[in-house]
Amino acid sequence: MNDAAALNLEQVLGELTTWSGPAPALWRRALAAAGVPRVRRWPAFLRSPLTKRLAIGGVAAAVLLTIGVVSHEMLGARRNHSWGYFAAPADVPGSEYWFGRAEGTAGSFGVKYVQENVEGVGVQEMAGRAIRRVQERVGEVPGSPVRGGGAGGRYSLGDAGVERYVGYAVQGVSETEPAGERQVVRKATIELVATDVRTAFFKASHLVSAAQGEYVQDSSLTGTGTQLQGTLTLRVAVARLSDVLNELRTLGEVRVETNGGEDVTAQVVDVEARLRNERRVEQELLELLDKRSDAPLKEILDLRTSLGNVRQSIEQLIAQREQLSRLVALATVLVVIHPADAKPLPPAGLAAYFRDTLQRAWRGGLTFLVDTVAGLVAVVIGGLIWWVLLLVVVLSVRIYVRRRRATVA
Amino acid sequence: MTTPGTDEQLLADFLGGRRAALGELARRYERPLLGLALGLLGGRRDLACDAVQETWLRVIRFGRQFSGQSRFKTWLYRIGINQCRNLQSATGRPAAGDGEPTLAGKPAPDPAPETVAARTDQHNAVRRAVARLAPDRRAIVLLCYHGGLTHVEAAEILELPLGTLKSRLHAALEELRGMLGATCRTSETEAGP
Repeated sequence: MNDAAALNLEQVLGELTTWSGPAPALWRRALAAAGVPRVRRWPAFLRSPLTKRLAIGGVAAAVLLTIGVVSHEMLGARRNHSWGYFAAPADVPGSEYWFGRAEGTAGSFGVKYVQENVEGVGVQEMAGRAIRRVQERVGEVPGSPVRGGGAGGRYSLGDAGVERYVGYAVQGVSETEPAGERQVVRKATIELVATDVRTAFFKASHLVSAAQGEYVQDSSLTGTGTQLQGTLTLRVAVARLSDVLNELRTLGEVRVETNGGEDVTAQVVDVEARLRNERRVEQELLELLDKRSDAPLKEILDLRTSLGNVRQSIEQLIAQREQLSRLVALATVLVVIHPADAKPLPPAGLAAYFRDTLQRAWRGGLTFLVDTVAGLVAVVIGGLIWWVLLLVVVLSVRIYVRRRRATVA
Repeated sequence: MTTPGTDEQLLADFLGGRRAALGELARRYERPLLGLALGLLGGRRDLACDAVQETWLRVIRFGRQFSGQSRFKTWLYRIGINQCRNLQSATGRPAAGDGEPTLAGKPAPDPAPETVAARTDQHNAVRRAVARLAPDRRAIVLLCYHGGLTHVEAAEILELPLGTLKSRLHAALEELRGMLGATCRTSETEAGP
């Protein structure tokens, strides 16, 4: 080295530890070597817990809504469920026909065909032929699965008979729920506190009108003194339910009152449809019995057995229909009457006392929380105009004080 | 839009799963670390890259062990120096003249060939002299003249008291001057940023 190139040690040392050129992004290689996977993170707008929860809540609501809509549609389809009978020629000599039940809904179709005396695949083919005819009539796609089971028998019928049974099947399947008045079973519960339980009890029991078929289903008056309690179950006409409840309310102070209804329209329609079909089948079987009095004894006996089964089914359906009619026609009112000075029963033991105390504490806490939130909402929203005014005043005072200080300074 | 954040926040973000946070840290420190490694490893760029890659690898693997008692920068440099020492022990003492013959810094304003040749000679001479220093003195000299580091930070990185660092730096510079002859015109009082 010479003097012309006088060494600046500081500068040279600095240059020795300076990297020239771009950085080779060694951190990426290190990440790859470490095998750090890419972590999928929420988008920025979802990182906040609140927005994340809102998004999840929205998705959940959408899913629930979808489930609700689908369920509604499925229930709707269920209401359209109906059935009927069919007959199909068997592939055995002698012009015999097979008799069975066909049932279907708007979305599916199946057949319960005769199981007894079935011989080979040919019978199923014949049953399938009848099914296809029914499907063609009601617009179903051919090829639906055939469901086995059910009752019935094998009968020799003419072609006309086959057509009639297939016609019944079509009629039965195509029946849908009528758009008539809905059938609702009304129920109500009212809990009263009366100064004179006994008087209120007897007044309540006399509210029913025997002329309209109303009655007291059951009643009880239990306890003595302050523990006296009256309970009645009234069956009153639906048209009078509101009046009866109004009169019950005058008997004492209402502590609890609930009112509800159960829609049984689908059940009524189903029972009616089944009853109609059973009656048709019964009529046909009777005609068949009259016409074929010279048939073999075994077939006649089978026919009578089927007639008995159909008759039994009809009776059961009639009973169901009447029961539903009674339920719909008469509302059920449960009346509970307590004395005005009744004291709550002491808890049965320490566990019950602990449970009641916890329940009271929980309820009290919830009530306090609700009250607090409601109070905050009332203060924030209700007093909005005052908050704005207060803000304006505070800002004005602050500006005034600053200006004054500046002036003094 | 998020603010860049401190080194410690970026490390926490990376450990929380945000890979880009490590990229931001690299944007701040990769080039300085490469420069320091270049100096410590006798100008070998390939070894410097290996050392820095190993440094990042250790940050990735042992980032959770960073307790926050020291600053991230200090911790990172300490790892980098340790990696350079490991590579040195594996490859042997950096030989004089192992580095690139070209200048590592900015090009000189005077592009005269004789001046460039003279500066290259100077660099090689200094590099050879630094390579002959003891490892601890070599690290002290390079850290103290490494851009972006103060003596206090260098002392923290080497885990030495500031006074000890300065006295060792003085001794190292004297040794260097002795090796380089009378051409040095700097003093330890001027030295350091």
